[in-house]
Amino acid sequence: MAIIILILFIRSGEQCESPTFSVKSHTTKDARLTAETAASVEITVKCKNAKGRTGPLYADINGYIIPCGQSSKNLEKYYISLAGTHKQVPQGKYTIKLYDVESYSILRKARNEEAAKSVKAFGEVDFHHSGVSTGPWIQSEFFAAVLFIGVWWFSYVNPLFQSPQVTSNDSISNGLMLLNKIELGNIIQLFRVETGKEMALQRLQKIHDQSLSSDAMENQIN
Amino acid sequence: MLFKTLLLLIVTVTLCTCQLSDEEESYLFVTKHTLNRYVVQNNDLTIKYSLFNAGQATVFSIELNDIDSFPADKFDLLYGILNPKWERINAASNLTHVVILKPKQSGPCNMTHAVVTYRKSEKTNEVQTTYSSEIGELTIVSTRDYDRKFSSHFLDWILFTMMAIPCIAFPFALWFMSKTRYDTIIAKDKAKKL
Repeated sequence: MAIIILILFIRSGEQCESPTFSVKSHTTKDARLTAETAASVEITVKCKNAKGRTGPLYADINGYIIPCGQSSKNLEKYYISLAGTHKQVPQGKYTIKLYDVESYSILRKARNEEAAKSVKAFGEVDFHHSGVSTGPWIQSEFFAAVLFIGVWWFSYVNPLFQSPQVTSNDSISNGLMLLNKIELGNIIQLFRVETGKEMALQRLQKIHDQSLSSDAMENQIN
Repeated sequence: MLFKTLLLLIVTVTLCTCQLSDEEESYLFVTKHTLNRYVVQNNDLTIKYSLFNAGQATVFSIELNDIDSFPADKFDLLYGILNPKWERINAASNLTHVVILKPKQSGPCNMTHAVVTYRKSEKTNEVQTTYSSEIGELTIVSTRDYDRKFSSHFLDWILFTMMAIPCIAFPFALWFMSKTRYDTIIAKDKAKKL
């Protein structure tokens, strides 16, 4: 009885012919901010005929048939909502079948599932839930830590931060003004090389002098 | 005396029959929750309204009005509407409505009831009013405090590395200059010896 009244009421406006649906949906993205997943779908129905009115719609979502919310100001917009825990609303595409008043009444009278499936829906829309994120898998702190540990390791392997063992205060070591051990090692090596050269030269000079003096002595004897 | 008792009898009978003619009561309960763990400024605030028809009769022309709880100067409405209406809710069934808002300010915020009106049956025009549960007082966390705890800090680390580069690069450059200088000397000596 009530449904007949509803149908008559709807018939007072024209029937909607070949409706087109545009969907604007939003689903929860951040699982750290929101404890449950929620989806809000806004469907705008446009009829081919200008005077066509759709009236209340019913949606079949996840097996549940629920009435669609309507806006008081804009009668073409319908709202469907879905909420559940993150596991109950997994990532994926969700299909919503829409039924207008007539098809809904037929659906309600259907006795079994087969009859229910054969009822012609007013339309079908779908929306995609891209899943909730619980934050990045590898945090940025990890990369920063790896980078700086790498820098430390590089400077440990190449003796960069081993301070020189300079203890004397004499002017030679002060004059050297060393920066690090390699500098010290390099300078000592160079110093040894140069001093060695110097010593070699001195020895040669001595031998030369000795030979000169022995020559002189020989000449004196002769 | 007899007239008075008769009058009294008639009155009681009409009262009782009035109650009997009233069909099954319909009870519509509305709860209003926020699904957020933290309510953060300039981030999504999800409000879920659940309407339960606990009675045995269908309710009609349900209208939910929650515009007053979320004034436009403090909240931006992103998805959903704050005043939906539904044609009917069947007996012993429920309905969910989700609204996503964005708070513009931080600080304490009191979220009160939503008002729901409905008609108990198709025939009456009499409108019943019920109130949803309230969320109560919540603190809206500022964006800065939330980011400090939860953002990925990627940009912060890049800035830190850029600031640390002079402290590392300057001693490295000194070492590198010294090393190349002595490496060339040693190489020259080796070449000479050979």
